[in-house]
Amino acid sequence: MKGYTSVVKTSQAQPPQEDQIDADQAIIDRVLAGDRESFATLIGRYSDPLYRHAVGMTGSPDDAADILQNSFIKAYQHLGEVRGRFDAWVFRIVANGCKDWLKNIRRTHLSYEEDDQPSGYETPEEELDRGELRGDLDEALGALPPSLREAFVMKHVEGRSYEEMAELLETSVGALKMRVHRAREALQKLLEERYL
Amino acid sequence: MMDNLDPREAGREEATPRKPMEQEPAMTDREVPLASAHTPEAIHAWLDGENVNESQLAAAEKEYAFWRRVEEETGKRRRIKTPTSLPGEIMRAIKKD
Repeated sequence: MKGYTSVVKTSQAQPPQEDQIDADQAIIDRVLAGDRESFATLIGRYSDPLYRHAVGMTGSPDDAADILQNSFIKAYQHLGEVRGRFDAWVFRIVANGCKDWLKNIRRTHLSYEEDDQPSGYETPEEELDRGELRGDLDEALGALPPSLREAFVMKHVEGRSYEEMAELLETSVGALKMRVHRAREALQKLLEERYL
Repeated sequence: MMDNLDPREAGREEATPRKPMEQEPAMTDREVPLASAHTPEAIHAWLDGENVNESQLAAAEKEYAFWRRVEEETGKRRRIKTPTSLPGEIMRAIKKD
């Protein structure tokens, strides 16, 4: 085949549009006025990408669920402090929760442990597909420094653009590209003996 | 201890450690030197969603096959959903407050 390949990766997370940001603010206003139930709408709207981030960072569905729960509770308690996009604000709470988890896990654990509960894969087939690569990729991700793991997970697992990542992490596109490239090269090194 | 909710903290541990070193060591970016492989530029470009010439990918055949496998796995992870019970658990915890 000649010419140019079409890129296989097609799914990319879309940042919320202006009207959704306004809708989020309207929900926040309602919650702050005493309608606690409305907070469930924000959880439903943003929990999936945040859960994927936490699973990617911790490698543990159980711990990811704990981090998400604690993060949303903190978000609720500090809702009056939201300035700008709610999704970006709550993402940073979750990201900080993951980094705190990594600091603690490094002191107490040196390896990942299998969780008992389902990890949230979309289909039973995907859930059961505990192939070798899945486990080895988890282990290799666990060996990466947090900043590289975070960049790789946001790019490859969450499917975010570099621009969206830069906005969420408040850093430059160039710095993030470098982190993602370094993460890939480290992962390839860790996995190449078996898979390349 | 108060939780630090300042979003500007995200990703800046090295520059602004939250606690004095003697209380809690700042998280260093890595604890051991990180070995890295050579991933061809064409592979990075393809993974970054750029158009890449087929011949460039053919020249990196092994790496291309490897990263396609990784992409298949990360693609499955991209569809992971929050456990169905979790939103309810969060709301119950909030109401207890």
